[in-house]
Parts: sequence; structure tokens; C-alpha cells
Amino acid sequence: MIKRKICLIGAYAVGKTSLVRRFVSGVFSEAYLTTVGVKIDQRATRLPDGREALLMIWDLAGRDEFEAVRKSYLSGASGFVFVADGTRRETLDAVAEEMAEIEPLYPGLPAVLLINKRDLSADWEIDESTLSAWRDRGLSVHLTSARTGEHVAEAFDDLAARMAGDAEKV
Amino acid sequence: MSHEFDSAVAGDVLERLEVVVLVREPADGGWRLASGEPGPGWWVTWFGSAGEAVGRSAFLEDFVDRASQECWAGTGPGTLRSGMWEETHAGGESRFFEAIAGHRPSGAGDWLAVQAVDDRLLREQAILQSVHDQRLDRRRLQKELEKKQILLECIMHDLGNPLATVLMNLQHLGRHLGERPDLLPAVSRAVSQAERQRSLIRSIAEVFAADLIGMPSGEPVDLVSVGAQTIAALAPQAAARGVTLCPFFGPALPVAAEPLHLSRVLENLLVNAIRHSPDGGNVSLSFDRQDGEAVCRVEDEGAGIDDALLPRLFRPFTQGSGEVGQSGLGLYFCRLTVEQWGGRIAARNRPGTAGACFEIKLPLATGAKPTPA
Ligand SMILES: Nc1nc2c(ncn2[C@@H]2O[C@H](COP(=O)(O)OP(=O)(O)OP(=O)(O)O)[C@@H](O)[C@H]2O)c(=O)[nH]1
Ligand SMILES: [Mg+2]
Repeated sequence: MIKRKICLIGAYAVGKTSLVRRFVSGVFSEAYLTTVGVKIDQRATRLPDGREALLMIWDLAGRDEFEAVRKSYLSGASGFVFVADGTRRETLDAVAEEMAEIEPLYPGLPAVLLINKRDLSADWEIDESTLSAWRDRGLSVHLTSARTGEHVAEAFDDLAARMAGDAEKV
Repeated sequence: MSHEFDSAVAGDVLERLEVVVLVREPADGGWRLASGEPGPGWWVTWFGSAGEAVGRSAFLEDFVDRASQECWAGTGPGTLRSGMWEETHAGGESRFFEAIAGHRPSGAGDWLAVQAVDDRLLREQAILQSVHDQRLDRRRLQKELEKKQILLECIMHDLGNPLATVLMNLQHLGRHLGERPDLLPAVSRAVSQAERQRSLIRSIAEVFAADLIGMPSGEPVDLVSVGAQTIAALAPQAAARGVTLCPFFGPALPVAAEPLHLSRVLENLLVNAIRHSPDGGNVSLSFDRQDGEAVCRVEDEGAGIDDALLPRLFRPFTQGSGEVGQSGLGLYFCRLTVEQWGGRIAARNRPGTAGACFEIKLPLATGAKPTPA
């Protein structure tokens, strides 16, 4: 089976670990336990061309004011999942910052942007026009909820599909 | 003999540190345990053997086959740390590890150390957790305040502005009633009700504002001079009701408060006292320093506070009998504001004499002024 490394990148507490847990194990927890270090989870998925691939999902500690994500962890990745928290607009700025650093190192690498915590619509802080600006940059944007599971698998599948397309071009 | 002893000690130390060292020599290229198979129990449980480890752990595989390539080739750093990662074994239990890659010069071979680092991870986790929790808390609070701010503006504008127009027009009507003087009482009633409503809106807005903007300013405020200014401004009002204001000032009492709100608190207490004073009564304002706290008292010579009312006095919408027209929010505002600065407010009837005593206590601001965040 082909293995594909994908990395989750985003500010602290946006829900990276929760998204992986939802996608891999189908569970969700309200408790917040900040991630230190790296955890790799795996889930098999079928690529659009019919091949099965094992996604090696790297959950990286969230970026905060002290530290950006260790760039060495990103090497060998086939795709990136950028995550922001829809109830904290500044987490989208953090994504922009990470992207500005990462894109030149991995030009053209498939990426998706997840705006998570969609279930908290009353506290939503990111409007549609902001999102269309991101879509105009060619990024596919998914409004997800690790809590309800809304659009979580779709988002990962979307990335997998883009990675497959990419591999065929090479 | 001594070489054996040395390696025995080295082995003990590695065991104590929960470190396993793998080596590979250029000749065969495979990893083996420097201390001999099988290695400690945790190693076997989580990684199997030297031969299996890299295949079993996705992180270790990435680190050995990718991240450390330059190190192995001798073109990068001589040693490289992996950073901590979480490894889960087939039984579902997980532990945290860190690996270090090392390259011996002139092609002598490579080594790979793997250490269990749960303790270090837990320490770092605890620190980061509290930092992140605090940031999230602060943000939630800020958002809460923003919501209140919006509500406050709504109260002021959407309720307050139309009322101002109503009042203006009623007064205009009242002045030009002309042929229908019989309608004057009705118009006056409407005016006074509208005025009551306006003052209620103001009180509600104040209660909200107490939560919002009453944060202490950076520099300590002198309670006594705020009191002096406030009481001076109320002199005409007191005189109109035949009440004498008796201030007793003392040395300055620096407190961590916000001067405008502090003045509103004192004004509320003084106006209350004036309203409850008999004609010819005295209202006193005095200051004191007690157990590291600044104390301010407002005393009147009125009928005092109804016992039934005392326990509810500082709750919202509490009204004494014969107090129709008051919003019932003034003392609530005082309490909210004072408590926000770490202080307390209390009321009692003056023993042995007629009248009520209201007392606020605020922590004295000591030492250097706090540096703004
Ligand atoms: N309501 C809601 N809460 C969520 C959602 N996703 C995550 N959370 C909560 O948000 C908090 C943070 O989630 P994590 O998954 O730990 O966030 P993280 O990005 O891994 O955080 P770090 O490891 O600190 O970088 C937890 O309390 C989760 O329960 C969601 O979709 N909806
Ligand atoms: Mg996490």
C-alpha cells in the first residue's frame, strides 16, 4: 500500500487533534489537552484512481507566540491540512503566517484549509467574503466540526484526491 | 577487567535514564543494540527489536530515513535530535520518546539513541497547557465584554434616543396647550413617566458600564480627593433640600480604581443619603485607613434602612417603600463596581442614633504603580 504523509498545521486549540481523532477513530472529547510533540495516526483511504493509500497523519503541536511549527517535520509531506478556529478570527492570520513560510519550501504541494468548530455558529467570527478570498488563492476551504463530524472526512478525502492528481502529473 | 566494569556502569546509567542505544557499522549496515539484545522491557514492548524498530514506528522511520539523512552522510550536523513524539503500542498504551541520531567521523559508523521522556513531556505539557488555557480564558472574557458593549449601545441608542424625542415633543405640547389647559395634568404625567424611564435607562446602562469600563486605571487614585470633588458638586442639591454636607477629609488614600466610576459610586451613596435625610439633617462623608484598606463612610440622619430590606439592598431592582421612581439599580451598580476593584460595600443602621451608614472598603494601592500590560 502506498503511504502518504500529511501534516496538520494551525494555532493552538483550533482542533487539530480533535479532527484527527474524529477522522481516525470517530470520537470527540470536549476536554482540551494541548499537544506536546508529535503524534502520527494512520487511516487507509481509497484514492480516486482506485488505489488504496495509507494516510500518515502528523498532528503537530499548535503554533503559539513562542514557537512556530518545526519545519523539519514537514519534509516528505504529500499534503498539508491548515486548520483555523472559526470562533477565533486571529487563528486564520496564524494560518496565513504559516503558509507564507511553508509555501516557498514546498511550492505547489496540495493543501486544504479547514475552518473548524462549525457547530459553534453563534460565536462564528469568519465571514464568507474572507473565505472566498482564500478560495480565490486556489485553496479548497472546508467548514468542519470535529464535534459533529460535519465535513471532516470530506476534507481529508479532498486532500487525498488532490494528492493523487498531483502524483499523476509528476 | 576495567573495560568490562566501565561498560557495566554505562549500561546501568542508560537503564536508569531509560535510554537505548542502537549502532550500525558501515560493514553490515543493520542496526543492533549496543548493549546486546533484547534490551529493557519498555524497548521490547514499544519497539520490538533493533531490527524491527524503524519499521514499527512511523515517526522513527521518518526520522531515520528522512530527517537524519544529512547527518548519516556526514554532510549535516554530527548529531540531530528528533523532538518528542508519542508512540502507541499494539496494546493501545502510549509513551513519549525522543531520538538522537549520531554520526561517527570518517565513516566509523552511526548511532541512534532512543529515550523515554514522559517526565519531561509532562512538565512541558503542564506549562503549555496553563499558558493556552489562560489565553483562551482571556479571549473568552474579552468576547463577553464585546457582546455587552453592543448591548449597552443598543440600550443607549435604540431605547434612549426615541425617548428623548418623545420628551421633547411632550414638553413642546405642554407649552402650547392653549385652549386646552385641562390637558396639562395629563401631559405632565406623561413627561414625568418619560423622565423616569430615561433615568431607568441611564441606570441600566451604568450597571453594564460598571462591568465594562470600570477597570482600574494604571495609576492609583486618591479616594479622598475624588470624594472631595464629588461632594462639592452635590452642594447645590443638598442645599435645595435643606441638608448640610459634612465632609471629614484626612490623609490621601491611594486605591486601584477608575476615577470616574469611583466618583459615580460616591455620588450614588451621597444622593441616596440626601434623599433620605430629614429637612435640616446632616450627611457626613468620612475616610479612614484600616488593615491595609481604605474606608469611606456615608452617614445620614434619616429613618434608617428597613431590616427586611438590608439583606437585599445591593441586589438589582431592590426598592424601599415610598421609593417609587427609583430604578433600584444604583446600589447594585455601586456593589458591582467596588467588587470589581477587589473591594466591598456594606450598609447598616447607625447604632444609638437615627440614620443609615454606608461603607465601602477598597484595598490600598501600595508600592510602585503597576506597569501597564
Ligand atoms: N465545539 C467544538 N469544539 C471543538 C471542535 N474541535 C475541537 N474542539 C475543542 O477545542 C479544544 C481544542 O481542541 P484540540 O483538538 O485539542 O486542539 P489542537 O489544535 O490540537 O490544540 P493544540 O494541541 O494545543 O495545538 C478542545 O476543548 C476540543 O474539545 C469542534 O469542532 N467544535
Ligand atoms: Mg493538539
